[in-house]
This record gives sequence, structure tokens and C-alpha cells, in this order.
Amino acid sequence: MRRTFVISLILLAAAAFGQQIHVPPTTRQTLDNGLTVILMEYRKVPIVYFRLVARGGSAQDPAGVEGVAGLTTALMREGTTTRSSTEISNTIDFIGGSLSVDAGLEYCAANSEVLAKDVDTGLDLFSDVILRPSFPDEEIERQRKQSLAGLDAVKENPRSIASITFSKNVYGGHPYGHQSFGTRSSLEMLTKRDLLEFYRKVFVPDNSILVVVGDFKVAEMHNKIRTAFGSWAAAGKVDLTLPPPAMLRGRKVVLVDKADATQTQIRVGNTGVDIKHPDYIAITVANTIFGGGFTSRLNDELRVKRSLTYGAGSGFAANLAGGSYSISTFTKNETIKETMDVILEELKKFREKGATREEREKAQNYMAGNFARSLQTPEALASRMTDIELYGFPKDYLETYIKKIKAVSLSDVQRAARTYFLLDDLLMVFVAPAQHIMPVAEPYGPVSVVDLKDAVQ
Amino acid sequence: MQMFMLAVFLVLAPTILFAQSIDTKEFMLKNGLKVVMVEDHTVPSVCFAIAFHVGSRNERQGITGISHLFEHMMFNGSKNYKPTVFDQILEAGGGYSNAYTSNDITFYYEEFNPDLLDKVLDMEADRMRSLKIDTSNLEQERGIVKEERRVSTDNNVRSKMFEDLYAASFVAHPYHNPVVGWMGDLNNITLQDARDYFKRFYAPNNATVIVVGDFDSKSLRPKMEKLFSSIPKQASPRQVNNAEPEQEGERRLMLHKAAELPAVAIGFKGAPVSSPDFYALQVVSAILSRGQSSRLYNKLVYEDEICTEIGAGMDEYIDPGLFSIFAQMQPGKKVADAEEDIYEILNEIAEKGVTDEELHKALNTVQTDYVGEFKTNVGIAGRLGYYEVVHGDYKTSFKVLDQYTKVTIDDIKRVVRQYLNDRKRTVIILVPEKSGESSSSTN
Repeated sequence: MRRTFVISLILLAAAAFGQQIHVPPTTRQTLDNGLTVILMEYRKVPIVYFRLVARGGSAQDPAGVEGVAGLTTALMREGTTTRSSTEISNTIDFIGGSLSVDAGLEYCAANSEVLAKDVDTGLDLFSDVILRPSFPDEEIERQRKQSLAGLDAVKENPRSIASITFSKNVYGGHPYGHQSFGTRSSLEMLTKRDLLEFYRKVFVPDNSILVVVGDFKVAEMHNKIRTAFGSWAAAGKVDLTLPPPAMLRGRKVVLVDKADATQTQIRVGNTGVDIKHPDYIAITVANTIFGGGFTSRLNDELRVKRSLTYGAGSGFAANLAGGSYSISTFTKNETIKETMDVILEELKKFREKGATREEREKAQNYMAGNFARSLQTPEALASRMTDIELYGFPKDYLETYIKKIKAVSLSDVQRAARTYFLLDDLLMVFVAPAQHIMPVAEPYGPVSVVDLKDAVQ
Repeated sequence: MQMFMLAVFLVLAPTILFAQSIDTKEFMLKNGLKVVMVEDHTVPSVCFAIAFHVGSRNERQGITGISHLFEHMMFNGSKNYKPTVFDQILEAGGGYSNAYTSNDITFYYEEFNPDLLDKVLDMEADRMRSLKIDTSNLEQERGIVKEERRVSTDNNVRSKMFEDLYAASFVAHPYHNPVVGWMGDLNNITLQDARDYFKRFYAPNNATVIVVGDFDSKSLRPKMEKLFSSIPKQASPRQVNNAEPEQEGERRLMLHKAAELPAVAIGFKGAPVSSPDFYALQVVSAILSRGQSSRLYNKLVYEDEICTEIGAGMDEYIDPGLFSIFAQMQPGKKVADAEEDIYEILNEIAEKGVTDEELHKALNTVQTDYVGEFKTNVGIAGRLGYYEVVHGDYKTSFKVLDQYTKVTIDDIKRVVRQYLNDRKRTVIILVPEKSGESSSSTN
């Protein structure tokens, strides 16, 4: 494989070219119980894709009991009042479909893909796990054990350790730093009551958005949806309001000691902006120039010109109340200083001199092309549409996104570079053999060394 | 616009399948370059891909990894395009490029806005005709590939287990070697090796071009002829000889690495894609590990709770590859217990077969996977390219569901007995050590 990029998904919600984007028409309705239902006929392949998003996720986990959202969603497909876990698995596997429920930071999402011929079975199962999960005790214990083992497994992966450590430290005690999969102590104490409480608060129709994309007829699908979800009882919206995460002042180094690593994982960054920030689009263009595509400055300087890494990139992950900005790369332990010097020099240069007109245009075109191509699959279309509802983007968001990207001026880019690509206030995370790296790390700022066993608690 | 027709119909027995067709057109230039085209105007984008009939299977000891290293060198300039210009032009044209190398195939592709097609054709022809191969770009990519090896294998326990699994399973066939190459060989590849490699394997008669998306197939042919047909054809590369001897007993190895949880990787010599047994083994792998209701998952992860995860898969290779099973243990659980369960399940299938329901389920899974690959332009190009090189003809990809419907429960019993037995088995056991106890040097 030639390249890997560590770019946030939200950043990839990038935009297109000169040509017009034609998105298939949608219908939007609100059921009596408050459920927002959006349907899109899309017949490229004989598939139906269901996606339900419920507002509220791991950022709403109470302090000290991280993982409530994660454990609740993991259990939803492990038993309902009408089906056992095994029956659910047998049914979805038999039709060759997929069914999952996951917790994000600010929302939970249930997704299911089935062949069009199996749409009734698919919807029956999909609605069952959303409406009637029973959280059987033995399934809770099984999942608890799995999640605990998952905490061990993640420590084998230097990339995951680096990302988790970055997230935890950049957000400090802010809920955006929650480990969605929980911690050892929280997983051990979570009870069925916690899960039920979270489920009853979040999975309610007037707090949810249902999108269906694929090979069906709108009128028929509306009837099916009304039958399946019509009796779901309303219970009010979840309040997602959070204070914005505080920016980190000065420089700080966190060094996770992985004594056997021959390569150092590097994350550098700070807090960023919220997803509706007026500068967000300009920031995404600036970021594409700095660390977005293969020809971005970071990749060009670190990989192409110096062979220091296999890949380097940067991204702005944005949520409702704020986000983070991070630079990601890795290099052999011997060249960490050289790599860090290049990163800091590039940041400085970008802040001081900004970008050229050619770079801006290239970035805009690149983003536009990616955006247009991203609308090929039912799952991507469904995901974009739930985002529009969830974040309150304008209804013509997909059709106008490219235009907005194109409207970003060079001075917008320069301003974004100066304002959001911080240099003096930076968190730096290294996953490396501490003994080896310590002398290199110390000049960057106060270093806290974290033992591998404590890196993921 | 509807891209291809999938008529769904019911077959009485044994299962429900699609009649699938996709509208392809093809032509061949006089230098042997084959071109396959699929017009689809769903999104304003074109995917241009080239599949070369070469991979690590064509390598020899001493320069392992050259196929993949060479893949990197294809982006570093040619006669009329300076280094880095290729990607600059693509990204400025709303596109991107990428490539992958595997054992049997090297596949390049780029996606871009339709108005960039002529430029892309010119750049692609230029690099096929006159790629720049010099010391500076060889050294540049050597450094990058070594970092790639460090991130993907040396610092990744699971990849390391699989590297050992193939190295131990194959003693004569080049599947013994990792695609990324051994670190010592990456240091050993010379400029002359790279030049010879390009001449032999990157000739037009060793390649197939696949174009999918928003373009006009009628006007493509004259353009391709003008730009590509004067690139000289070369002697066909020598056929790879499969000298792999019959395995006559279990091979069992330990891997000591810094890790948290014990794990095991088991490989059995399987069947090549040209054999009907390949499809039967694919069905077996689905029955064993696709979804939570699969046999291995249900027993080891769900019921007995001794594993955190388990998976099985059959290599889709030109020569017989591995049917492999991977299991990661729950804390405190022993690999031996997982192995015992796995072998018991295999024995049970060998003796009693599987249920009709299990067979139907596997076939339904195959169908969904099949449909999924037609969602995007790059998905279609990738599928056609892989079938053209590995299965010998891209058109076989349209008949693959027929191959699966032919698989019977008796076939399943037979292939499990024949292939998945203890004589043909290689086992890698991960023995976790605390980080710091073991150290691996890879420089």
C-alpha cells in the first residue's frame, strides 16, 4: 500500500469541483411522536441502508462512569423482548446483511444494510433492536468481559495508544476526552440500571433521526416506517449543551513508555473549533494545504523530501461544543528529533507566510473531487444526511458545499493558519521507549512519562 | 443513472441468487495492452486503473519486496513529468492516486474530475514508456518503505504473526516472503534490479487498463492508441514455478513479542482460484467465521468466552495460498483450549457436514459482498483488475456466483477433510512478553 492517512472523518467531509453535484431527491417527514424520517431512493445497487441517529453519546457519560453509552449500544443487538442475541445474529447473518449499534461522542447510531429483497426482514430486526432491547444479565456480563479484554488488546497497538493518549490529554477533564469504550473501573461497576437509564433517555423518537437510502419506493417505505416506529413513545430531546473545552497553554509532552517499539508514534496539537464555527470551512481548506492530501506540506516535507515516515497528516475533529486539531505521523526512533523539527518549522512557516494561490486552488479542487465521489454509496449518503439534521446544517448543505469551499479566499486561509495552527501552545504525545526518547523529548517542554499499563485505564 | 442491472430472482433450490451483468467494452492495442471500459455517469468522476501481472510471487530471495518498493517508484517522475508533478496535477484536478501490491498483482489507480482524463492518459503513457529510475528516487522510497515495514509489521504483533505463518508454511513457493519484503532485502535492492524489473514486468503486454466512470468509451480508444501503442512490447515474463512440496506434518512455532493477550494463527495449504475447491473453501470460511452466528464465533467467543475475536479466510491467489484462522484469547485463557475447539469444529464438519441453513447463509453473504463491490467506480475497477490478473479473465467475476451455487454439503465435507487437516497445518503461537523484556532489532 502506498499511503495511509490519519485524517479525521469529519475533515473528509470535504468538498468538490466546478461541476454541479446532483444529489437524489429526499423526502423529510416528522412522525406524530417526533421522529424525523428522511427517505432517499437510490438505485445504483439493490441495497437498502437504514441509519438511525439518537442525540447523546459518550460525552454524556457521567464523570467516573465512562463507557455507559458504549456498553448500552453494544448490548442493544444482544437481545430484545422478542429475540435472543442468537436469534438476532442468525437472522441478520442469514440474509447476508449487517446490523450494528455504536456510540459516538455526541450521538449513538444504529446502522443496517440489507439486500433490497430482504428489506422487510431487515426493517423488522432494525426496529426491534432500537425499540425493544432487553439488556439480558448474561449478555451484560459477556459484553463487560469483552470490553475489559478490549482494554488490554488496545495496548498492543501503538497508533491507538497515541490517539487515546492525545484525546485524553488535549481535552483534560472535558467530556470529549471520554473513552467511549469505558475504563477498567467504570466497566466493572456499570449496572443494568445505568444502561436502561441511558437507553430510555437517548433512544426516543423526538430525539432521533431516521434515514433510509436505497432501492425502494418512498410511499411504501413511509408506510413501513410508520408501522415499525409509529408507536414509539416521545420523551423529549437530550440536552447536549457543554462548555467548550479549554485550550492548552504552553507546551506539554506526554511520553508513553513502550520499551519494545522500534518506531515512535507522534501526535501534536491542541483544541480546535466547533463544527458550526464560522471559520470551519476556511480551516478545512487550510488544513488540506497543510496536512490533507498526499501533496500536503506535511507529507511532502516528511515523507517525499526526507523519507522520515510512511505518512503524515493533520486534521480538525469538530463537535458541537468544540474540537481538536492534531498532526499525526511516525518515524523510527532515531529520527524523532528531525521529524519534530520539520513539523514545528512547517507550522511556523504556515503561520507566518500562509499559503500560495496555487495551493489554495489545488486544495479546493481536491476537496471538491473527494466530496463528489463520497456521495456514491448509500452509507455515505445516509451519514451525510444524519449529520445535516444533527448539526443543524442548511438543508441544501450537500448541493452548496462545494460552492462554500470555493468561496474561501487566500486571506481566509492565511487568517485560519495564523489563528488555529498553534505553535507555542502544543500538546505532544510520543509512544516510544522512554529511556531512548527522553533526552529528545525534554527540550520541547515538561515531560510526563506514562507507563504502558496506565496509558489505557 | 442506473449503472448495471441486477435482476433479483428466486431459484427454487439451493438458494437465491442474482443474475448479474455489467456493461463492459474492451479492446487490445497491438503491443498487447488490454483496455477494459465501464461507462457510468452517476458521479462526475473517472477512475483510471492499471493492473500489472506481477507481485511478490514473481520475486526471488535477496530482493524480496522489490514489487512493492517499485510500486512506490512509479510516482516519482518520468520523461515529461518531474517528480511530484503526477500527484500535484491529480489533486489540482480534484483527484488522488493510490496503488497496492500483493502477492499476485500490482494495481494502480487514480480518480479525478472528467476533464482531466486526457492529462491522466498522457501522464500514464509517459510513465509506462519512460519512468525515471535513479539513485535518488530509489533511496527516497527505500527509506519510506522501511518506515512502512516498521509500522505495518515490526510494530504490529498480528502482522508479525502472519509474516511468520507464511514463512513457515511455504518453503519453496515465493508466498514464503512478505509482500513488503524482508528488512535485509530492502537494503539490498539495487538500481539495476529496479531497472530490470521495470523492463520485464511493466511492459504493455503485461498490463491491463481499466477505466470506469464518467467518460465517453467511444473516444477513449483513439486516444489510447495514440499515446500507448508505440510503447514497445517485451518478452513475456517467465512463468512462476510452483515447487512447493506437499506438507507432511504440522509445523508449530512460537513468537515471543511484547503483547497483552495470547493469540494463535493457524494456516492450512488451500486451493488456487482456478480450482472449484477454492469456492468450497470460501464457503467454509464464511460458515466458520462470518457474523456472530458463525460456528467459530458462536463457540469460542460467545458460548465459551475464551476468545476476544476469531476469524477465518481463504487466500484468493493464483497458486494455492493459505486457509487461515486467527484467534485472540481472553485474559488468562490458553491458546491450547482455542486450538482444541477449532479442530473439533473442523472435525465435526468433516464428518457431519453443515446444515442447509448454514450453506444458504454463506451464499447470501457472498451475494451481499458481491453487490457491495459495485457501489463505487474504484470498487468496480478493483474487482475487474483483480479478476483479470488473478483469475485470468475479468469476465470470470460475473460468473462467480454460479461457482458458489455449485458447492454442495458433500464438497464442504470433502474439502475440510482434504485441506484443513493436521498434516497440512502450520501454527504460530504468540507468547506475550511485557514491553521491554523482548527487543527486536530491524535495522
